[in-house]
Amino acid sequence: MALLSIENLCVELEGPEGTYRLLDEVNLLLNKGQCLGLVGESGCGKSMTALAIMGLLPQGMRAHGSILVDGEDLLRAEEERLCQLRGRKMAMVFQEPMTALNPVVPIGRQVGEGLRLHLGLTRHESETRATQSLARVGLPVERFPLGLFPHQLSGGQRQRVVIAMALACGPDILVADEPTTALDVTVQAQILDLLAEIIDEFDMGLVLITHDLGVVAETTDTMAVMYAGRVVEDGPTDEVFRRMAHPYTRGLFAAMPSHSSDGAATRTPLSTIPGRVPDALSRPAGCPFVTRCGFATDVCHQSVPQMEALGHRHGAACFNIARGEVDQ
Amino acid sequence: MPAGSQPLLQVEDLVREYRLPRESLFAPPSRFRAVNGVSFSVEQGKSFGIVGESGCGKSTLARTVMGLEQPVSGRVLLEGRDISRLPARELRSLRRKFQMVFQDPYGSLDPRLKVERIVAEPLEVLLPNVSRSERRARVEETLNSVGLKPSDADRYPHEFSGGQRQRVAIARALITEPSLIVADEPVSALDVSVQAQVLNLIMDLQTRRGLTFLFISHDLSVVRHITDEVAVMYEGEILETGPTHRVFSDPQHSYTKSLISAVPYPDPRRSRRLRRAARPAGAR
Repeated sequence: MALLSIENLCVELEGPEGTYRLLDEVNLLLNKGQCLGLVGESGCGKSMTALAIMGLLPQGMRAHGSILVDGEDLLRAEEERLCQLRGRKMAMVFQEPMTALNPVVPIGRQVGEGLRLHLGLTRHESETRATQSLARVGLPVERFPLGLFPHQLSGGQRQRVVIAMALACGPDILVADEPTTALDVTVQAQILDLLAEIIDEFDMGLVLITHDLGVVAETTDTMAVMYAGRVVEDGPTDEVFRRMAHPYTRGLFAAMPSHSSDGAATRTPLSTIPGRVPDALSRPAGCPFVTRCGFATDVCHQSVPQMEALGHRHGAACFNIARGEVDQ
Repeated sequence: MPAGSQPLLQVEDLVREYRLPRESLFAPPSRFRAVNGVSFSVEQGKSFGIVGESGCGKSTLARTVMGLEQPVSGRVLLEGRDISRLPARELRSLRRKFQMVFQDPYGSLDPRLKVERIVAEPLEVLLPNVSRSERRARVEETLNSVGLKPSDADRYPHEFSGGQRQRVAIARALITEPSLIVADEPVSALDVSVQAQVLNLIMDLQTRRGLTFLFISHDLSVVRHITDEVAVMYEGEILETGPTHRVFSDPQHSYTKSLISAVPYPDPRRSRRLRRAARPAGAR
């Protein structure tokens, strides 16, 4: 059985001008020991998906569909039950290590907080476990005493503390929302190495949210490309990169400054995706990508493409998959 | 450099220190050298990149080049004139020649001003004699050149997306027709597709107007794509400098090599992060 299985997840918000559909029939699957990457531009629903998995959707949002963690549907769980699950079943690593940590509480207490809360450990026991947890993420107590405050650490070290907090209670699912966006490349590589080691070691599942296709390629096993609240392409990472069936996936990839250019005074214009992500109220009637797509035909304006199987577990939601690929 | 031509921007042995908090009542407070003896020169129409990790001094360098910070020693020569020692008034009138684009398109535009005021502000200070109608005409022309509509002049910053805001910031820098633009991380707050649009604009302005760019970024692939020459900074010093393609294809310094190899490569087959298992990817 899958560790995490999201089926037909829709999240809606009632606004003054109508209903905003923030997530639209999202289907995702994560197995033990695997890393699932979520990619897309800002506003496409990546972070909303993460919050839904954590049961942390903001007040006033209605969700339907199901989010099954070990067979238990989070959308039908009471808040009390969610409190028990958070930290123990699923834990989150946030983007900004500066704001995710409390600046006036020593790191040992922040890492130990969940242990005392969830496992009912005493202060002494929780300190022992916090020490272990911090050592696992590369902050040995000899050099990084529990009494240190966040401001005494660098950005990468702070992100390690946040990861130690998430790991403390031994969760099965780790949700990391842009965990390295605020970090330098060399530190980013270390943190991604650490996350990969951890999911292998503890046989956890990792949901990695990022806008960096390089990070996805190097770290994830499976990936889902999101656009305007929908999953438009998903599958094994190598398969998605090999085919890039959806025009949006190709557009994202082509917009990146080239890595392989030999550099000889390149300065060639980058290809861009015209326009921007439509907001939840002004989405077009048919395919959400139709306004920015170079391959759009009449049918794209009229109906919404459904996920179509392309190969082993690889799928894309587009009417013109073949056409786009020929043009490539 | 061809004989007889003078680089547009020359930075010579620049040093910028910050005083750290006093640790003892009797000892002098210690100092931190954010920029430690940096020299380079940029020729007219070229773009020069500075890469390095956070805290390496690249933003301090940009601010010192802009005359926003006073160097402890060293010189910043713009068209041969030392701007680091100019009195405030002369520096201000010379600012027409060099402008800056900041990182955060949300924080760098006053939310209460219309785009027309924002873009025209350098004109008001630097060329106060320009008439109102001419000012409006120049604002519209400049907005046009960065890919915005003339009617956008009557809108407020919150009505624009991040990429459009950065275009407004670039328009503000362009309106005095400067020869040098210092851009400190101009695209790092933007999504990759929008980033591509802004980078294309920068390259286009460079070709069309012969603008010179000092481009500061931590993103190596961006710098690789748009600069002619690059300098790698570490702890306030330049470790390696040269034509961009050479530095990237044949890095000499071990730090440059480690920086370049840390950039994630968008091809799963070349992944360095070997996972324990080559187990089958998750079932659907």
